Amino acid sequence: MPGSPSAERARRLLALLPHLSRPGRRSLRDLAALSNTDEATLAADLTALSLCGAGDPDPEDLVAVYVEDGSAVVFGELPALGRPVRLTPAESRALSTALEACGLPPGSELARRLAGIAGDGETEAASAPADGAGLSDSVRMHVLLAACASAHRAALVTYTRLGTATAEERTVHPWRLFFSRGTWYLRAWAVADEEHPIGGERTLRLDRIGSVTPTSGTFEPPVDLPDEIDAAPDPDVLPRAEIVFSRDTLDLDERSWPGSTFVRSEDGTVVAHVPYAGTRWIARKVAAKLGSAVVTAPADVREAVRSVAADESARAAAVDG
Amino acid sequence: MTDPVERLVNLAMFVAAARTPVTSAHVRARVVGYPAGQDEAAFLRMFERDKEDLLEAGLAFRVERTGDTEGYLLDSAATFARDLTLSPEEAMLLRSAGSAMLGDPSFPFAADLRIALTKVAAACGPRAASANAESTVVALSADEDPAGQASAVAVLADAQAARKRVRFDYTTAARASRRRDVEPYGLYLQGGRWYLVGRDVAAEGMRVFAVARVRDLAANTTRPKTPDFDAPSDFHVRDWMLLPFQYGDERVGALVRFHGGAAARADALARERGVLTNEADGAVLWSVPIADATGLAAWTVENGPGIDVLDPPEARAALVDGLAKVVSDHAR
Repeated sequence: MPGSPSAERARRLLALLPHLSRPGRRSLRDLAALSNTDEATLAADLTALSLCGAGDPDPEDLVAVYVEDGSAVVFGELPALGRPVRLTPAESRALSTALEACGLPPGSELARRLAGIAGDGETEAASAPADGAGLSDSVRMHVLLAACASAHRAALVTYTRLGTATAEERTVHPWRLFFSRGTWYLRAWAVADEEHPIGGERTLRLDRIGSVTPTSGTFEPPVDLPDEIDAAPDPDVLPRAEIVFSRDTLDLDERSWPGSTFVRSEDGTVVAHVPYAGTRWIARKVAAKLGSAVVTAPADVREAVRSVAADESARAAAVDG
Repeated sequence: MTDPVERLVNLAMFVAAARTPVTSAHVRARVVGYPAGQDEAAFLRMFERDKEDLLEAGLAFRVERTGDTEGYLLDSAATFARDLTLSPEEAMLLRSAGSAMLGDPSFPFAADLRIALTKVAAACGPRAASANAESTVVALSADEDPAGQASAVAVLADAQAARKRVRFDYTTAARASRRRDVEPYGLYLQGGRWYLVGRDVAAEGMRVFAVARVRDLAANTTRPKTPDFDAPSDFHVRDWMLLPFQYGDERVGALVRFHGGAAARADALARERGVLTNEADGAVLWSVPIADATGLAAWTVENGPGIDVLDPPEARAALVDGLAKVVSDHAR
């Protein structure tokens, strides 16, 4: 259960103490980054800590810290609690949930080692394998791209576009990773090369990236990178296809069909108007309904659906032998 | 009067610095922040609440009794974290995850995550867990009613931890609604949605609920310190994190082949379910249990091209028949 505001702030202050265990001057910016807060909150927390101590209100027994010129100055030993305190079960849960969102499976080796610092006795060794062994290939790619984005380092990626069977190579400037509608994406600048004479801004699904190789090239990210993190294009500016779904179709919601409108007919079928940026996505979505959805218009989307289904059907027949 | 935050930190440091057991009388006399003139009963209630708050922060106390008097010492072994070494990749992953989730309005455990990262950074050095240096990683992990899901998951997670039953209205994908009493065993995030796994008391069976379809959620607040249930000892939430064609009571084995560009995505597509085997020609074979043959057929089309169903025959038939209908329905 979440504690009172006072208890929550005390918890934050106690977690901050080990970062003040060595005398010296540290920038508020660095310390705020370590404690995952902003500089103003940190400065207020440090001031509060400077009034705390292990006993009588003797200045000698107080936390020896003050804030000056954008720095935290520690001028003495901590009276107590200079070592990091174990993670509580709730903190362990928060950490493992965050890691799972990045693709680590529940109960991963890393999550278990982090739980080890919770002091729950489940994990004896809390040392890392030197090469980070235990991370899956997809998580490694996430890490590499995050590192490239952070260091402004260009990367060579292999990418399989939606609806195609072969991967292509592109050099990209990774600007930002973002997680939207259950999928990780990379917003990047794709650099022009011999095969792609025009460079441009691209959004790549991470699960369609086959490999990532950092290069020696560097870049400056745009200063006006938007904060919005939805991969779906604005439905208001897209053409719409009309699709009739059979009465027992289950996933007729905005999430599965972004920007769509649905109207149920008297016979139970549902008529949807679905925005689409290109026929690849919508054709495959409709073909995957295996006959419970029919595009009534426009003709090019109908043809794209027929083409996807015919190709898949031919492949299935070939596998049949 | 000293504010309660300072009183709590003072109490923590006083007990942590003590070499001999600290009694409530010591606390009252020496720890700054307890009101002067407070009657004994009020002081003891405040002291008990403060101890609870410090336990919630991760501190552990050892109680030593002398006659009728209790004394407290910090239990160092149970309080302090072990040293931790992270590889550069793991440190980057933590930073990435931390940065993304701390800015995510649908992440239900932001306050706990912030403290956890601060502690991890202290336990293994500054490179580990500084999440907010640059916003190169952002997330909206649950996109349907993000704030609503975050608050519902927070309630469910607390009920799971306390082993208290929850009650809510639930609308299934088939649009059937009814009130449920559920023993919450586990929660997971998949595909942009939070899910609750638990025992439906009326149905006497395990169920998976999409949290976005939960309404009027309430945890049982009677006897909060007494658990309502015990989860089975062999329960693992991972066993319930299924692909869409794996939900159902009867499962059969399926064999799927990824080739071309799909082979490179096999790891991501399989989501740790089943067994992947690399073939000499670069293809990847996937042996996976399924409960819905038509669902598997649909999944291969949606995620293709380059995904072949080899077995079972029911899935192959669903694929062939379904695609034939699509072609027929969309003939010129």
